[in-house]
Parts: sequence; structure tokens; C-alpha cells
Amino acid sequence: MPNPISNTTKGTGPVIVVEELRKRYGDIQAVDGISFEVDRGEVFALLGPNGSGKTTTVEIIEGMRSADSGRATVAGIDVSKNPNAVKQLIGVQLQSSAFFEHLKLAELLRMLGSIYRAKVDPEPLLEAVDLAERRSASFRTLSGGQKQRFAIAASLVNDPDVVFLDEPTTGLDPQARRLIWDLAKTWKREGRTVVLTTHYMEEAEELCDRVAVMDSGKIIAMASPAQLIDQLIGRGFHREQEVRLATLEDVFLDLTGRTLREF
Amino acid sequence: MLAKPAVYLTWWSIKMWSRDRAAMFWTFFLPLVIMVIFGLLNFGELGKVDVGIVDRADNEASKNFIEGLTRIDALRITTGTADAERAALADGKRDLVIALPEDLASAPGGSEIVAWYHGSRQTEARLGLTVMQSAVDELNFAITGAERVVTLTEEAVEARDLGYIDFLMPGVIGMAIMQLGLFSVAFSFVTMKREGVLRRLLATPLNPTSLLIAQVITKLIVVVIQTVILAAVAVFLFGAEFAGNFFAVLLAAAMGGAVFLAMGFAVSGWARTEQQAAPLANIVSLPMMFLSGVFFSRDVLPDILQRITDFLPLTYLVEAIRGMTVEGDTILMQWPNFLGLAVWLVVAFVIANRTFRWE
Repeated sequence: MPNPISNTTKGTGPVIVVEELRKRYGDIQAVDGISFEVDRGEVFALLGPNGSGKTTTVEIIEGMRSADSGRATVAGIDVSKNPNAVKQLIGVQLQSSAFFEHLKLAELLRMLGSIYRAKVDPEPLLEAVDLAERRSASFRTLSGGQKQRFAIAASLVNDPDVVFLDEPTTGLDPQARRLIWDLAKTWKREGRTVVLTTHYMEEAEELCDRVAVMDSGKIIAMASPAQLIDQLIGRGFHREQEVRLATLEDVFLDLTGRTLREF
Repeated sequence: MLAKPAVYLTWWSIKMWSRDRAAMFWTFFLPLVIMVIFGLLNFGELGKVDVGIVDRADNEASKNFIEGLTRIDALRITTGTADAERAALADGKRDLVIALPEDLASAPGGSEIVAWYHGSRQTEARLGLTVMQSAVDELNFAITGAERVVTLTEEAVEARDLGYIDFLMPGVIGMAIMQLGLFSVAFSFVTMKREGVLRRLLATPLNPTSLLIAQVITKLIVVVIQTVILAAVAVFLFGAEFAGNFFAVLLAAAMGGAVFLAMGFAVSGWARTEQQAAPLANIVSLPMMFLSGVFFSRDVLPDILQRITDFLPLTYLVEAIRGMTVEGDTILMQWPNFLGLAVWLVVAFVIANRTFRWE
């Protein structure tokens, strides 16, 4: 079903605009006045250590939390004023997702689709995350990696313009991580905007057009990975070790192959 | 255009519920087992024979006669006017009623003691009559030696067949509704909250009310099915009385279901884990199971406790259903119990609204 609102998100220019966002939990200023924009079709990452405010920032943009002050808009819609209109446009993969018991994976996707008033064909979604053979399984019986992949399939039921992935590859084996990276690249080709948070720098380097580095609720650097690296080198930094032509992960993938191990 | 998400969610939640084996057990199997066990025990047949005596003679002979009867262990003797005792017999509170004539032991041609008994309680009545016959013989001997001057005439009275199952059925239906409302919602929502299912739904444009509506409709459908099954078993297997309008009973059941569902939401709002929800739901439900007249009449409770338990939601529900099935009451005749349920519905809804959280 074509999304009637998605017309407004076509073209160029920023799809997400965040201005002076602040959020406080007790004594902790989780988000401390941050501003950034994400362009349409861009893959953008929030990087930072645990507790730096990445997840809180993303959840405010997703309409799941309210900000103390500041503004976040998606496709020109103010999240705090019309959260459901924003939620209709976006797909969300939470750090830890759970789904109804007693429904099969394929049914869960159709059920979620009905919330967006969309008729969902679960097969291509399950195939995209290599779970087609588990279509009749229940979510609880999946392994950790399979749960993560299903959560990503579930974020696509409404054919979203913007996909939010919160630490999508944490705890995954290299094969599953590659699968998710390939998915993100496909979405970019399809013109979707992808916002992700991650601890893995090679993930950000592999996928992202731009990254914002967060610490203590503030953005301390924002540019493309290449620019950030150039800036660092420009400040006189050089690695102790010679750059290797292959990494241990390349070795691992060469030895074990790229196909997924759990179905 | 697709239908409202709430309609779809209701459909999915019915599907989910139908696959939940544990819910099936608690909702259908357990109440049925309880009813079958208590139905087979049939407490109504236990104990003494209830004999009512109408003393029209009120003389020394009649006083001695009654005094003699009270010493017999198998009998529980009550005295009263003819009207009162016949009414008690009709209500099933007496097994046998004896009328002593005015001319007892003084009529020249001998006098007649009339015994009315509960036509459907042959066993108790026969036992009572046998005992009574020997008492009458004793009296004869005392007055005339060997000659029979008093004879006992038996006369069966058509009375309503009210047994323990008639009392039990509305009780078990009410109890099952309470358990379903309180526990199904309390547990499933706490689980969904703890696991993050509700949080995941918060990321969708789902209106929270839609989810609540879907849950409530699903559970009310279950309440109706549950009531139908329990009533069918009680009526067709145990011959329970079902005098009132069936749909009126279902309306009372649904209303009670709504009250206990709201209480279940209140519990699930307060509790963070299933370990917190379980004791709280039990604290609410256990006292009512024993104090709201489910298994035995509240008449046996001390006065003060009777007056307090008058106001319990399960009391209103059980008494509304019982009034309909046993007495054939209409909704209008049962208005105080419906009003009680309505007040509880408002109270529970307000509490649930205050305590309910999505995360």
C-alpha cells in the first residue's frame, strides 16, 4: 500500500531536524542540547560509549519519549505534537524487542502491519533476514541473533521512509552482522534514510555517510567517517601498527564462510 | 480501506488466547472440575432432617411430644405457624412439616397429625416420617395403652427442587469470571510489560486504547463462553435450576467480567513482575472466594461479616446471577446488585487508569 504521507518526504533536504534537544533523568542530563540534521537517503550513525545519550536521543525522535525542551521533526512533522504521524512513517528496531506470545513470526508481521493499516506479505520480509524457514516459529524460541534479525524485519512492515536501528549488531556473529549491513545498504539504494546507533566503529565506517560522536549527552564531533579520520591525522595522529591488508574478521569469514549458521 | 486496527487487534488477540493452553486450563477446566467435584459431593443431602412443627394444640401433650422429638438426633426441629413452615418447606429449608391438631390427645375418636414433606426430598422425608411414626406410636401408648387413637397421614407437597447444585452453579460462574478477569489480564500485561512487548508497540502508531479495547472484548467473549459452558454442565449434567432469562444472566456475567478486568488492569499497572502480580491478585480474590457466597451461604457468617461482605463485587455478581437462575428474577428486580457492580466498575476503572503504565 503506498504511504500517502511519504510523498512529502521525497526529494532532497533534511528529513530529520533536531534542535537543542534536552532530556534529564534525575541528576543525569542524558541529552544536553544537541542539534543535527539527517538528509534523505543518508545513512547516519550516533556513536558513543554506553550512557552517552544515543538511545535517549533516538527514542525522542521516534516519539517514544518526550524531550524536556528542544524540537525534533521527521518529514516536517513535530514529534512531540503528532507522534503517531511520525510513527506511521518510520520503522523502529529497539535495542531489545519483544513480541506477542502465541503468534507465529509470519502472523506477528501481519499483526504489526494491521496497526499501520497495511496489508503485509510476511514472506519477503522473512526472506530478507533469512528467517523464512522459521515462519511458523514463535519469537520466544528464536536464538538471540534470530530475534535481532526478526526485530529488523518487523521494523519494515510499514515500508518506512526512515529506519531506526538501535545497536542492531550487538552480540551478533560476523555472518549475521554482514547480513544486516547488506540490508542497510539495500535500504539506502531504495532511498530510505537509516539512523543507527552503534559501538562498532568498523560498522559506522562501513555503512555511514555521516556520523555524530556523542559523549555525556553532547555531540562532540559530526562529519563523514573519512573526514573525521583526516581531521585526526591532521592533528598529527598516526597508528603504532602498520595498516594490515586483512583483519582477523576477514580470516574468520574466509574460514567459516559468509552464510548464516542459524535458521 | 482496512478496518480499524482495534478490530484487527481483537481478532489477533482472540487467536492468541485460543492458543494459550494455560489460559484454557484456568478458564474452563479448573472451574468445571470444581463444579463437578462439589456437585458430586452434594452438601445439600448431608446432615439432619429438617422438621418444622405447627403446634395448633399448644397443650401439655403437644409440648411433651415436641420435647420428645427434639431429643432425637436425626431431626432438627423448628416450630412456627402453618404458613411460615409451609413456606419454608417450599423454599427447601424444611424436609418435613408436621401439623399437630388442636384436639391432640383429647378428641374422642382420635386425632390426626398431618405431615407435609418435600416431594423431591423423599429420602429425608421418609427418614423423618419413620422417626415420626415411632414417636406417634409412643404417644399412642402413653395415652391409651395399646390402642391407636392417633394416626399419621402423609401428604406430599409439590415444592421446588432446590439442591446444592442450584446454589453452587451461580457461585462457580461468578468465581470463574473473577479469576479470569483478575488473573488473565494481570499476568499477560505484566509479562508484556516486563518483556518489552508493550514498549515495542509504543514504537508503532497504535492508540493504547485500541489495545485495551481488544483485550477487554476478547476476555468478555471468553467470559460469555465460560458462563455458557459452566451453566450447560450444571443444568444438563446435574439438573441445576435455570429459571431466569439466559441473556440477562450473560449480561450480569459480562458486567462482572468488566469489573474484574478493570481490577486486573489495576493490578498489572501496579506490579512490575509476575511475582508481584500473583500475591496481589490472590489477596483480592481469595477472601471473596470464601466470603461472597460462592460455595456456601453467607448466612453462616457472623452478622458483622455478612454486612461487610454485602459490598464485595463478587457478592453482587454471584447474588445477581443466583437471583436470576434460582428465583427467575429479571434484571430490574436485581437492580441493587447491578448498581453495586456498576459502582465497582467505576471505582476499579479509576484505579486502573491511575496505576496503568506501558513500561
